[in-house]
Amino acid sequence: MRIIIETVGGRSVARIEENRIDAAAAIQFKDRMREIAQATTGDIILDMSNVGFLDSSGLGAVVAVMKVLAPNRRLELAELTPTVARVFRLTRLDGIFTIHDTIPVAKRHAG
Amino acid sequence: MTPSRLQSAMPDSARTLAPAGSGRRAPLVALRFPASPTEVRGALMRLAAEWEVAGLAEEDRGNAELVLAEVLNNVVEHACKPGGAIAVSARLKAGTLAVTVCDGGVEMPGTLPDGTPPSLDGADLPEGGYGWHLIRTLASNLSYQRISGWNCLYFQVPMPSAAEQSTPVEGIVSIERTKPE
Repeated sequence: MRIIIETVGGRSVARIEENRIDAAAAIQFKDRMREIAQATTGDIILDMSNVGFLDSSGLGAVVAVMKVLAPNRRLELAELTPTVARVFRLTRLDGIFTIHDTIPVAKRHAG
Repeated sequence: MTPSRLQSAMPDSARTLAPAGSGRRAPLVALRFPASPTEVRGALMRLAAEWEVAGLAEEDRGNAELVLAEVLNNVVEHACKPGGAIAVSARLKAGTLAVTVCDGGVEMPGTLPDGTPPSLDGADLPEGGYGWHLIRTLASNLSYQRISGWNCLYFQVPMPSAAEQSTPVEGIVSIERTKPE
């Protein structure tokens, strides 16, 4: 499960480099995100632009990651592909997660 | 949004063979594979490839793949022992995809779940229970039968982009995998 992190301004963007977060990948996704959570501080934005398919296993894994970071750190989502966006909408989890159309640009602190 | 360049690990079962039948008609696809999450992924990718060749809209393909993923994940998790036989057939008829999923696992206890979505109100957001809600939302005419030691689930998925298409009787793609990956 390849996930690339970029940390800017106290917040990290985790770009998923896999096409499917499904039953075959859910555990590896959670494990990798736990590693990332330990290696970073602050909020994490999941770049989902490469994920073309996500089922309820993947959904549960994303929820699990959100709970690992809570309560002090947020998990937000960005660049959902149409099918994945639909899964979040049908389950009404789109009302729970902050979902960005594009990765929000972090402001670099001076100095 | 640009389509993904990436391909998750694709088992051999999903490698595209030349589709049967002529041009853009959707063949009947019959798959048989041993129960495992990786095999399910391969079967779904194989079906999605067939539907793409048939010219079905992305939303229709996505809905069908999602329903089938949820059904097959349930089979692998609850019905079949690892490596147990699963058979799927999917046939397009006048804008509806008719799907049969059979497995040789344990009989389903009780009735099919009604798909009530889990409550999102509590302090602890649920990590499971979404699957049957997705199935009930996207599929219709669900029915279950136990026949000669097999579980068989039938359902339909509307495919408006395929309203003009029906599976020709002579076009059948049949793939059988008996060795698990």
